[in-house]
Amino acid sequence: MLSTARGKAGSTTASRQTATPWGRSAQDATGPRAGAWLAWLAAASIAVFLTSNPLYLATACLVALTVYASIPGNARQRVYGLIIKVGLFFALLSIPFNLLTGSTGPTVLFELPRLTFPGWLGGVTLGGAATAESLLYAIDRALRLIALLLFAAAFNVGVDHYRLLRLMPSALKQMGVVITVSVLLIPQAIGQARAVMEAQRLRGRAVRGLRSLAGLTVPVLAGALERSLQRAESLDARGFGSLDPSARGRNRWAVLLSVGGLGLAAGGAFAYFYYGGTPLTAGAAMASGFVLAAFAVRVQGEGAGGSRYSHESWTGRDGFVVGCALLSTALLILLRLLDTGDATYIPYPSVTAPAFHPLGALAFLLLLAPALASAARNGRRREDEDD
Amino acid sequence: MIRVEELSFAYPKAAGPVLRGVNLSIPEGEAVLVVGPSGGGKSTLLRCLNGLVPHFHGGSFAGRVSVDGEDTLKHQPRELARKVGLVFQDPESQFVADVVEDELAFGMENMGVPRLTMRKRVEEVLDVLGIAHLRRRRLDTLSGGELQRVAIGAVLTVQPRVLVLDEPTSQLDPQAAEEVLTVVQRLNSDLGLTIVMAEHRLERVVQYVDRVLYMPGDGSVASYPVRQAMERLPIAPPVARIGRALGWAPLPLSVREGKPFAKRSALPPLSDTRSDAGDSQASVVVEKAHLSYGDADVIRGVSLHAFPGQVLALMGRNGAGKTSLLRSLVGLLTPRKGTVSVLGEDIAGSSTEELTRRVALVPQDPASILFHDTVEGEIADTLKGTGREGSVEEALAEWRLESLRRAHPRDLSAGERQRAALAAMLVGRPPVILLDEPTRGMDYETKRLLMDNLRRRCREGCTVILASHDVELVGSCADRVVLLAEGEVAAAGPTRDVLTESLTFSTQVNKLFGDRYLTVEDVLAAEEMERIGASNS
Repeated sequence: MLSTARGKAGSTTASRQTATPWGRSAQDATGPRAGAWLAWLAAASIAVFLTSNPLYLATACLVALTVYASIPGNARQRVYGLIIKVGLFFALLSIPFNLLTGSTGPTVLFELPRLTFPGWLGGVTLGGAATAESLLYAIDRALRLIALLLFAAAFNVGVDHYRLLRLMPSALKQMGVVITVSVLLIPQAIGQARAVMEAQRLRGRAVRGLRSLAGLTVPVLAGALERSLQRAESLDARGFGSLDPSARGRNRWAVLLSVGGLGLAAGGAFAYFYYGGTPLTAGAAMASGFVLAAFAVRVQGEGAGGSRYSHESWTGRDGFVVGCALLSTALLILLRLLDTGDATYIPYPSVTAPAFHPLGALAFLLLLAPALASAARNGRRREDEDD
Repeated sequence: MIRVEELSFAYPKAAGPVLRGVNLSIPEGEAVLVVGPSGGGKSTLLRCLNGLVPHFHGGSFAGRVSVDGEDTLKHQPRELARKVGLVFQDPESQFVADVVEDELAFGMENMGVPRLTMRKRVEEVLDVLGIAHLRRRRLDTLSGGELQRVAIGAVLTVQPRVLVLDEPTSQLDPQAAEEVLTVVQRLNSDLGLTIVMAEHRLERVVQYVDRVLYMPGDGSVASYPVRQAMERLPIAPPVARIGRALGWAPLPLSVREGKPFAKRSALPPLSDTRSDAGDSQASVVVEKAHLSYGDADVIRGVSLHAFPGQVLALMGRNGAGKTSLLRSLVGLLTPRKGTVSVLGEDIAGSSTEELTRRVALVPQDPASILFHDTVEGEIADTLKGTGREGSVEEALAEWRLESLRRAHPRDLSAGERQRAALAAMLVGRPPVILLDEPTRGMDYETKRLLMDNLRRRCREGCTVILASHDVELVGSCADRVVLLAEGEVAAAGPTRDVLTESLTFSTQVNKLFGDRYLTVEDVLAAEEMERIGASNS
């Protein structure tokens, strides 16, 4: 379903050819702003973590899929389409794996042959009775994984990576550019793999087996390497990394300071979780570590020598997306605090039907905001065109 | 503006230097064209101007290059970015942002230009390049010409003193190439920007430049005023070649300059000299084919016939369906409706792997097919895979690759790589040859070799179908042309009929002399006949 929507070499070319050179067309980058997307992703992640109810998780998957499908086609969809497929495969694979590696609960569905490893291999038991409780638990976990994956995919396809980068502190911007550029290389490599496979067939070689894989890997890797070098060359030629020389000395100190700060924070967390440190001392260590790191990042940013083109203007649509995200989180936290809304579900000790509360469902449906906003906009544009 | 003194450079681990004792001086505001065979060091020379050579590439560097008084050896490329803007061949490999406006600002952000200044410069550049309507567009929705203009804009916002372009149109179709070159010409004439550009399509640029730097491939660089270059150099656009042969002075560089001379020479109407297919049976027949990707129809009810011993050219805008049609002839795309038969057999049931024994398709980016360690290994692999009979030696000789037989394909220059790919795909004399944009980014020498080899294969009874935008190539080697538009046949017939009645799809010679003249050879032969006729009477 995902791949038929878009993500084919041919369709990219087709969209190029029909690209209209006038006005704010469908190809205009006018989705929600990077900040709004970020708020949406945060709310979605919180929602998925706050619930274990399979009905809500299934709703979350559908919501994420709807948002993903509502985003106008772009090159990144080719990558994330593939990532979603691989993720789905592993998430679904985890269900039988969970059943195989230990089922508990009274409702036995079927018996599997039992295999117990000797003590020196850990004494693990595989197989045995597969129970409905374990099955439901495994499905629940897979659903959570799929929901997170779909939300992350929708965010990554929808958000403008470069503008997201502008929201980062200056000191981290260079690293961000490097990451953005690496991500850009993936769709190109996929396109090239297709071209190479085709070229192999044109030389009478069916692309099957390990031997043909060698013929595929070398040109794809070599091509990717060549393109990376070209990009590095171009970044250099466009003044990337032209740091203010006077800031270089200060920079080294800032790096040391940020590493020290992060180390302090990690030490605090480690002491609390593993060595039974008191919450107060651990909390103090973590807080001071983060403050130190933030300060260092700020100092470093001053020497980064860059400037920012523009801050994005805030539109009603962004307000709508952020509002819905906040409302969703608030609603779920409230339901958890009041212990209503059936956000949590545990199939043990014995399996029961998960409950469904309209307010709980609403919290997830609010996350449809980006899709609703784009549908409203498309509707308006069609009206304009009809006029 | 630019001074190059005793410049010599060799890449790390290279056998010899690419540049030897080069001396140059380019004054401010001049437009300079760098020409020469591929692998001759053009890209290297351009990269010396902003310090990428030697800072990025390493290698041994001797001599001095200075731009606007700054020594490139003492300054990093990122510092020189303020003076020199470099635009690369493939625009997509240089982008960072998602949206046009952000891409234009990237260079300025790196240099810490104040926000208000950035805003002003982005607006100016959008206007100068005529891309204001694209400002909010996503880069992945732009056409090739638009992308390259954005790439130029992205370096212009930094306000460099020199704009360096490394074959900026080699990946583009003629329309897109025209868009880009027009912009470059305006930047030079309206803003007085110094331009240094490497470019193979001389007929498009030569009238706009002041000077030509010729790099014959031995590491030297010869500098000529443009007219002198066109008089002396082995490469020249058709109008200059005719002018040279007929002694026109001053030598015309464009159709406009050549028109008065052409009028004066008053050539007689041309009788068609090309042989027709006669009664021979078509070797490739497409009947009312419909081709589609997903829901999108790319070819609608197209029929065509190709005959043995002839070259059939498929022409048309980008996206007209040329590539799809070629793909369907080798089973990579199955028609939704209609039939395709090759050498008398319907290919509906045959796989691509089986068809390659009789049909060879050379794809658009031939370099992507190379993956062996040696050139001869590449050629032998096709023979083995397709089961064609032929010899590696013969293929090496045909494409002048004897001395490179053991070279690694990735170490070859672009032109050599193209030849290696052609040799690898066309070995074993397949009776049907399909070529997709074979001359894209090709230098004159390789192009001539390709034309000679295609003619020879035709004489041996081979059927050639080529998809190309290159009017000069089609004019001089195709027998018939099918012009596609929006997936349908817009015109079809003998080359002389289709190309001489067209505004955009006609050769430089036809624009000069009209009638049915297409190539330099046509004109010279007619002129010769006239002369003999005159001397007899």
